[in-house]
Amino acid sequence: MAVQEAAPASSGVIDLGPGRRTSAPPQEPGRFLRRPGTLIFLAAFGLYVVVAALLVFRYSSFANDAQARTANAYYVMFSRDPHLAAIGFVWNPLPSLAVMPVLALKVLWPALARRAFAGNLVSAVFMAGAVVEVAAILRDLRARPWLVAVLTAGFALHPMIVLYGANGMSEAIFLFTLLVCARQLALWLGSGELRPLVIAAIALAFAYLARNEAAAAAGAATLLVATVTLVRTPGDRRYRTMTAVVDATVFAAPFAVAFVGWAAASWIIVGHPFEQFSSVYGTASQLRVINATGGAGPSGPGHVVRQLVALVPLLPVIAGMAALRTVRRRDHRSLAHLAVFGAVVAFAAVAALAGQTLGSFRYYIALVPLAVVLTGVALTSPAGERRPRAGRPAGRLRLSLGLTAAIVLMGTAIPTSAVAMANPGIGQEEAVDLNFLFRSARSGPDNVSGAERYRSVSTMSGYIDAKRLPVGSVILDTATPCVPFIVLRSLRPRQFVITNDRDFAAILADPVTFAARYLLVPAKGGYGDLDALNRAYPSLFADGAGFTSLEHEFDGPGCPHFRLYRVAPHE
Amino acid sequence: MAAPSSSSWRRKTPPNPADPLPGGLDTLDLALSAILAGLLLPPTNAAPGRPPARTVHRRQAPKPTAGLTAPLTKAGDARTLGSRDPRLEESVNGLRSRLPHLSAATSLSRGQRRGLLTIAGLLLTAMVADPATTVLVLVTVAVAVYLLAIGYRLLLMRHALAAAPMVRVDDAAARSIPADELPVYTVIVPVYREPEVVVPLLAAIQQLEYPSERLDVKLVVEDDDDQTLAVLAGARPGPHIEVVRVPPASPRTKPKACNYALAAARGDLVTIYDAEDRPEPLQLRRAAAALARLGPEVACLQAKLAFYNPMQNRITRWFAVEYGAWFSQFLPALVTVGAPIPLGGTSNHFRRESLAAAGGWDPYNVTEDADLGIRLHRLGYRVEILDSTTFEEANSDFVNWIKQRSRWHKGYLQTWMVHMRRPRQLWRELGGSGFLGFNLFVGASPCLAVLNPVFWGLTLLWFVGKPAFIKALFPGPVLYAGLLCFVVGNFSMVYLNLISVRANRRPELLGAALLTPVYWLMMSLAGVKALVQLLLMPSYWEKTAHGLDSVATSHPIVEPQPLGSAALGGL
Repeated sequence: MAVQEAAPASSGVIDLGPGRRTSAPPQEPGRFLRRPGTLIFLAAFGLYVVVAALLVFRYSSFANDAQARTANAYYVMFSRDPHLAAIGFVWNPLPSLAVMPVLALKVLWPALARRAFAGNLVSAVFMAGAVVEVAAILRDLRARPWLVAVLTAGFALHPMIVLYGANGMSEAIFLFTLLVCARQLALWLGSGELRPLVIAAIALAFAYLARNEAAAAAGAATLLVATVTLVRTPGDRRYRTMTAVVDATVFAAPFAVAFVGWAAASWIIVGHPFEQFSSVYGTASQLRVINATGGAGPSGPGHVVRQLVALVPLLPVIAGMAALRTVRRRDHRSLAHLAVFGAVVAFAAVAALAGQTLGSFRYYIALVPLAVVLTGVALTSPAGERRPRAGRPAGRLRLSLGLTAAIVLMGTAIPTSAVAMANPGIGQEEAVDLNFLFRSARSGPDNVSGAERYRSVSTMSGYIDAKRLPVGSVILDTATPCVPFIVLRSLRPRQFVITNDRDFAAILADPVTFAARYLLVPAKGGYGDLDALNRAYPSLFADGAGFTSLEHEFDGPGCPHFRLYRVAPHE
Repeated sequence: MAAPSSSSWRRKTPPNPADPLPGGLDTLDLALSAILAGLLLPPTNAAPGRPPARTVHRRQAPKPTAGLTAPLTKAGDARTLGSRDPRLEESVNGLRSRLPHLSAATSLSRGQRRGLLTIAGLLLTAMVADPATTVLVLVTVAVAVYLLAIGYRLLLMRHALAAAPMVRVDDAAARSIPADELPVYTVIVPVYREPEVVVPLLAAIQQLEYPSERLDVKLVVEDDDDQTLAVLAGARPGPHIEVVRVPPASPRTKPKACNYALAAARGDLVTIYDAEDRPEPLQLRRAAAALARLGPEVACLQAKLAFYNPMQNRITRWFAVEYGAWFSQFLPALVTVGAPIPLGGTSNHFRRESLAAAGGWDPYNVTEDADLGIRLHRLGYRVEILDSTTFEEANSDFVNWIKQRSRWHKGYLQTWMVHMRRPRQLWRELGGSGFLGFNLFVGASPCLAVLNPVFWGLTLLWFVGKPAFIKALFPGPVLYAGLLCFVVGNFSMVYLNLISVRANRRPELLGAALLTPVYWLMMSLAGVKALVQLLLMPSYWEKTAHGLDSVATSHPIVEPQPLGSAALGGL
């Protein structure tokens, strides 16, 4: 706030800089707590933590990927060979990095690790943050408080948002960073100030470190930035072009560094820049397995549309209304969100149609914040327009119409997506994770209850722990399902030689010399073929590969059929 | 997630998890790049900025002075007695006798000498006793300093983006002061053996929009500079221009000459310009208007410096990026956080009384402008940034640039040593933030410029040969911190330049901003040159440190462009 003084006797402004002789108002104590953002955060966080506790402690429902990411963070800190590269290069590092500080507290609360609850806490925090950002975006749109409340609730209570806030998956961090990016980008569109552009750029880089799909958002948003700058900068053509290039560079540079940096790290440590795609454990490989075992669900454009409709059924209406407002009243406020979230959703659809990904329901989760924001755009007017005043009959009518519209537009999403999540045909993973709720939807051998799988893991983990083995006694491949949880569950994590250990290959090749005593190997077929022990000793599972003897067999529900082989010492 | 170990060591026993060798990312570089180094270390030392709203009590110099015209009453030094002109005497030894602890006449105080010898001794013993640990400690300290320096600059940039607390006086306000209400303005212009600049200089003085009857221009020339004096006599400058002939005396430096001119200054306000400078015509009026409204604690307004030949070559482009970031972003941010402001070499607009009370310029300091800025802050005065530009010539020749920059490094080191003579007093006078800023800019810059090549070399060595001693130098946390400095730190410093280019609307400098790391190489070269001189030729260092060797200014003699020519570009 500049203190301005008029020069004497004529016009003219002298600006002595902000707050030169005024002291800042004293901050009331407790003001922070009473800020709307804080209240929203606490409410959302509370909700997601409660749901998370239910999932984890009551129903033993664990999301596979979330568990694996928490396990990666666990390996970095508590494995037999703690080192940062144990975080793994198949997935982007941010979710695991974010879990690490929470995992450090496992001393105080073992369940943080043993039930991977640390991951759930982290996703709850970030999803609550996402809710706060949504509210902030709506306020930026100059929405009335009731509209902000309804739409924020529509977002926070959306079943997919609730589930992914509670289950520890990386979607929470992803949505949060994308929301920050989109919000700041929208602010930049409105004001042209540099600061929001920079914050958006940094948020985008973090979004990429959470999930790869951010690359789609980066591409679309950079184009948007360049185009907008080109169009609205005054000056000659050359200057405008150069300024557009500079703006695009400012926006895209942090993302580019994150992209290149992560690829470089991957290349240097694992030998390949894009582990997530090319690794034996990466996406392509998993897809092959899934397709081979017939685990892939329906696909095709119809399926994609069904998924989108399930997420936000009235999307076409919302999109139409927002488009009308954007075009007719030259309201640019939705462009940023379209570029960021729209690109992510479009990319997910295209990749699914091209068979490059599983096309999971959750890949489209970015549609939810987009729909909320578009609804906000459709039901508000941009700055400068005359706003109808509430209180007069016409105003009250508008108020109730708007309220109804908001409730209908977003409210309908709640039941439709809940149903979709119960339906393995649409929400494959969610139906599995939530099958304790939808027992009737269960079918097939994979739909074992979380509690049963948890029991299988605990059995294996407990059995191995009971042997009180020294460090480095049991070799297992943490990429195989259930194995990360065995390590997390165990009270003696350092007894395991895991894939992330730097000497894993050496020890696996020569267990006797390295005094490893046991090998835990899954049955072949499906994921079992990807297992490192099976790849090193193809006959291991069947007959012990000649140098081991069978110690125990584990065939509990929900996990692969494992065999624990004891290494016979040399004569 | 198999991570084949890139190191070839094989362990025959299960590895000890407490092994201190760094984790997987040890194959990444370990170097800590110095981003900071020269980046923010251009022309002068940063003087402290504005403190937060506390009452500023002005500390007078120990002896109340009636300006520098009072003859020296205290002998002080036997050398000063005799037939010397008292005015000359005051110029040379005024500061030294009045504030000896703030004078660079002696490079190192006794306490510092003792301290340095002690440290050197300790280091030597430590190196002999346990070289590995000693080097490790040194590396850790260096990494910590880098982290601090990077973090501080990022913090400053945040302030810069949030608000730009420059003092702005618009044209109407500047012109609205009637001539008889304007203070008499002393403009000191040192001219060293530059007969060819005389005529353009006189023309430039004509361009200043300030009534000539209120101007007191002092063209300062050495008494034995016959050529320049001859041209000056021939040019017949107006009555408001006085040619000050400085009697030859050592040290032959610009600050001594300026002090000499200051002694006869008639004006209430004083400023300095170099002979080739092209200040914006309303600058004097703006400064007068602002200083009339600012409190007495504001002793100086620093105008922004820019170049009229920024696009001449690669070097000038880098220089332009550096200056732009320094004057438009970092200096205002330093003002915000209350740190000392290193003054620029020219375009400092002083209140004459305050300048005199502070002791004038230090003739023994190579970067007397920076030193003055710090001294002003220590004595309780404040410096603000004035939104008005003076155009200088950028050094476009590589060798000259290195010479100039190594002189600045020397000067910064000199200034640092002078002000750190009494660290506790310095802390009290600058405040915590100011103390930090002073050390991280004035002290750290030359040191880090020298350290950079060391760490870059280590990185290169690592990539090429992976020698084991490097691993030992960077254990766990130090490695990660170092990596952070390298990747994130490097990038963020380049990014700061990028942001600055955008904020200052100089898209043509994009390429130069992106190539900043090469510029750092040049700065390091200059730093190493300064260090080599310091170590191998200390007496030569003394002489050049006191500028005794060269009377020339920092600029090579090049035909300057008159104001308004195309060379100024679209500013």
